[in-house]
Amino acid sequence: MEDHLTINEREISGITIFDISGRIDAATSSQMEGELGKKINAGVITFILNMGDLSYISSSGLRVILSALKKVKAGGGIIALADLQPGPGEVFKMTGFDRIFPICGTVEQALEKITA
Amino acid sequence: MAVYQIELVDSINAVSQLAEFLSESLEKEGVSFEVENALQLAAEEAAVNIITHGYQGAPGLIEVRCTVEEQEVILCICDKAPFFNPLSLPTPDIEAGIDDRRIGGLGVHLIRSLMDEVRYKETEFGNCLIMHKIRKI
Repeated sequence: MEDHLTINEREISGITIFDISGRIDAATSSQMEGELGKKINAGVITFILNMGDLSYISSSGLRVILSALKKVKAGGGIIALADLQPGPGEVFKMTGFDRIFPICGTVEQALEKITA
Repeated sequence: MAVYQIELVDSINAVSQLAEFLSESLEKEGVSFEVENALQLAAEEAAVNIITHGYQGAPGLIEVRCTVEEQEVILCICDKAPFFNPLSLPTPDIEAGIDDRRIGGLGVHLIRSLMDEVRYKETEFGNCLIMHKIRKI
């Protein structure tokens, strides 16, 4: 069972994409917070979180990405989610977070949505 | 019926230990991935609340008992923090937009949403949260 989180970063058209793999739970959420925080402090306000390999997210994880969204939104930014898997998707729905974040099927669709 | 039990004493590793414990126990009993995932999440939320609010970050004992029956799984999570019923907390406003969303407060809401039944009991041991999840056949 995976109990870790891997975040790989890339950039397309000036938009930062985090390819997330594993779990964002109470044990790993500070890692997510750190990665987002680093980029936000460097002035990045537009993110796509690629959740295709995210198997699990708990309220600790939701808290971290909501906090990041509030920060980037202050600068006119956006955090879009891509390829959300069923398990985490249910958590987003149960908490109403599916109404707070734009959720797209693929990273490409998220890019299109953001750059439109 | 099978009963699995674990005592968590190390708050830093409690969440990982709990996840591993449930993964091993539930997979051994052939519990479906969907039910296991729900229990994993509910357990984590309960444990994090105990560590953060019950023990206020100080070391403390969390006792977890997982009973796997044919029709359901019963998860009991107990602690020795001062008596407090987490189910008495108000539900967060999940309709609120981003500007009105408070950070936090979602743990109990998730437990209630994921489990088929949740009860709180004050016992001689301390606080006990009892959660039932029906196993879909």
